[in-house]
Amino acid sequence: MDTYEYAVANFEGPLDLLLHLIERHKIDIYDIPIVSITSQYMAYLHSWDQFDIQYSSEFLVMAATLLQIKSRLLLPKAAVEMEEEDPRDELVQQLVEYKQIKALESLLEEKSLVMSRLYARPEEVSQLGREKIFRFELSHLYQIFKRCYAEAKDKEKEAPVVQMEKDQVPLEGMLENLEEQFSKGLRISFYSLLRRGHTKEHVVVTFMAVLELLKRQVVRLSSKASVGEEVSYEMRGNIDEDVWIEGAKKNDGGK
Amino acid sequence: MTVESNQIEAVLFSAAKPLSLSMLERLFDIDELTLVKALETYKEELINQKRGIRLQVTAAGCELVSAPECAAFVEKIRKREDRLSSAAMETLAIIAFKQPVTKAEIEEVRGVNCDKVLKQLEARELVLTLGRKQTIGRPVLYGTTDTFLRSVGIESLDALKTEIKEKEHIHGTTGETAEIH
Repeated sequence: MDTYEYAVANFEGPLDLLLHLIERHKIDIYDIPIVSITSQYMAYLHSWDQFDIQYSSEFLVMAATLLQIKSRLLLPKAAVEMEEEDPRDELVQQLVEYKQIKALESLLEEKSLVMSRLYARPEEVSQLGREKIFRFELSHLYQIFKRCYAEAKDKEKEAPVVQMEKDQVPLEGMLENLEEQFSKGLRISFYSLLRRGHTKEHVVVTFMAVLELLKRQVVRLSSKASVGEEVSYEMRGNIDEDVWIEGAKKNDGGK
Repeated sequence: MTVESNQIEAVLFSAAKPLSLSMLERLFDIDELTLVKALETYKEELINQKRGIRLQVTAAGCELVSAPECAAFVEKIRKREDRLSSAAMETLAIIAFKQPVTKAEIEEVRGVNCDKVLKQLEARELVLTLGRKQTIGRPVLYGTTDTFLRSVGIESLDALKTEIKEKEHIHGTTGETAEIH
């Protein structure tokens, strides 16, 4: 694959090649001479001596589009002058947009090159933002988990005995589900989250999912206790409602 | 109420990661305008005194970085971030421009399959999923992260858009925006 990409002179795709041809021949993007550009494009494809179905097919789609436009242009026009649209319009639109993206790309390229010469302190050094997780020891989570686990077991016992297919709760599904909910701003106490599970399996999977999300820093834990205040669960007695989970990522891409 | 350059420096140095403006405001107990002015002063001092560090303000926050003119030496002890492939850059540009955007929409602009590239960008935390589009198939929507804006040294997406517009203006590349009266 890599050697192949090298062979076609680093074109990212059919649009890239087309734009290259247009720019090389200083063609007006809004008035493309389809016939000559098509033959040049085809000549380019012919010059390839290797064939990679996945990569080449994308170029072939464009070749087909070009040929279709060419044939439509060659067809005699209907006698009645209708508000006929230029068959090239869609392609032109695509090219204009692609050109814009290319401009932005080169700007980003420039900027990241500048930035790559500026070195920040290694982030591993920083302790900032980590203490929040440390404040809740795993044992607190485990305590809550143990209670919910025991309750789930009871529920299972009470349920009437019915032969049913086992309700499998895949960890991946749970992770995805929780991740989406937290990214939407869900804030829930750890206790109530676990209580959502009706079976032992469900509780266990939820617990595992939370641990995984904590590790990935998708969620964070917080407490009603204000920052710096000594958290002593035993004294307060209601540990259940004191550990909250919420999404950790502030995403907005910039605002 | 004010804050001295040495205080900013000390805090940013020990943080060792970007700190947001609002965090600094709270930390020094000053308002935004005072902070921005103080940061500006500090920034100029670093340049005028030919110091080896610079103040960098991006979407991720304020941080200290090594001065560009010292890069040749710093590079001997620090590894450079791997450069992104041009496919990755192109995809990143599309997402930055059109977000929130689905994979299908990205592929329409590029004309090629983007599975691999998107995974790569996600792994480097330059893009992330914003949710799902409420259409058939509920496709995943992608957007850029603060890490991305930090990696190109930009304060916000709006700043990026303004910059690209100015560039277009200088080179006159658009052609269609020419207004005739």
